[in-house]
Amino acid sequence: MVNIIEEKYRVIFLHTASSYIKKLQQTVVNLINDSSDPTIIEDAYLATHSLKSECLMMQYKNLANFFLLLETLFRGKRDNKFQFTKEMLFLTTDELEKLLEALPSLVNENITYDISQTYQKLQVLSGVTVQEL
Amino acid sequence: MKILLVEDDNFFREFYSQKLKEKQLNVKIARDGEEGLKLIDEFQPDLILLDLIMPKKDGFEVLEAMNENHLIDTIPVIVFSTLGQEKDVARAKSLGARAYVNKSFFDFDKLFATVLQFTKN
Repeated sequence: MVNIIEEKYRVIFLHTASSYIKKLQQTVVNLINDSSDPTIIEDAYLATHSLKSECLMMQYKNLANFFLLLETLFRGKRDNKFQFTKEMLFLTTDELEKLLEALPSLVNENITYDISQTYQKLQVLSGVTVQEL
Repeated sequence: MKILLVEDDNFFREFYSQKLKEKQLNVKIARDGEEGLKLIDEFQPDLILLDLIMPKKDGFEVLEAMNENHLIDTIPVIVFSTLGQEKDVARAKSLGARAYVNKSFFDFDKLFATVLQFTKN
């Protein structure tokens, strides 16, 4: 695999990923407040799908797997096959907040972001595991 | 050569449209399936790069519409996918997509070779 992501595309990634994460955060807040508007669930599913693909392209594989898990959960929620608990939602929103803050450093300074604890805990709480990318 | 890129994610739109233009290809972009179907009509592309999971008509709905008007027989469609969507890719191929490219593993030579393969005739 070739990894040639010029700076201009890293900037675009930073902007689009931040935007998707903020959209996700809003959905999670709505779910915590017991709103289950199907439109926002669908938007969250699309956001997690895009974040998964973008992170994989940028070679942030751990983040890609995290968003793959969220994509799977939101797809389940959309299809009425899965329900989030408040614990899962608070865990997710806390992690998204930290990630949003760390994203510029991740992209510009190439720091490593460890999401493994939240990822593993979310798998346990949801009972869902994914075939990792 | 005219390429229609149907992709809802801005990052992938920017990245791939620019890379294709660097190869002197005439690229038009649609942000979702609905816009994609409109541009197929207006732009009459030689090939379509089609994302599957999109708002406002997904890639499957685009393929179904192309089947209804028989455009699937004349305009090659290459599916743009990410790992973990094998079932989706199989479904797209059953609807007439000719090939798929993993958009998250950037291998432009492979993408360009696939584009040439389906447009040389």
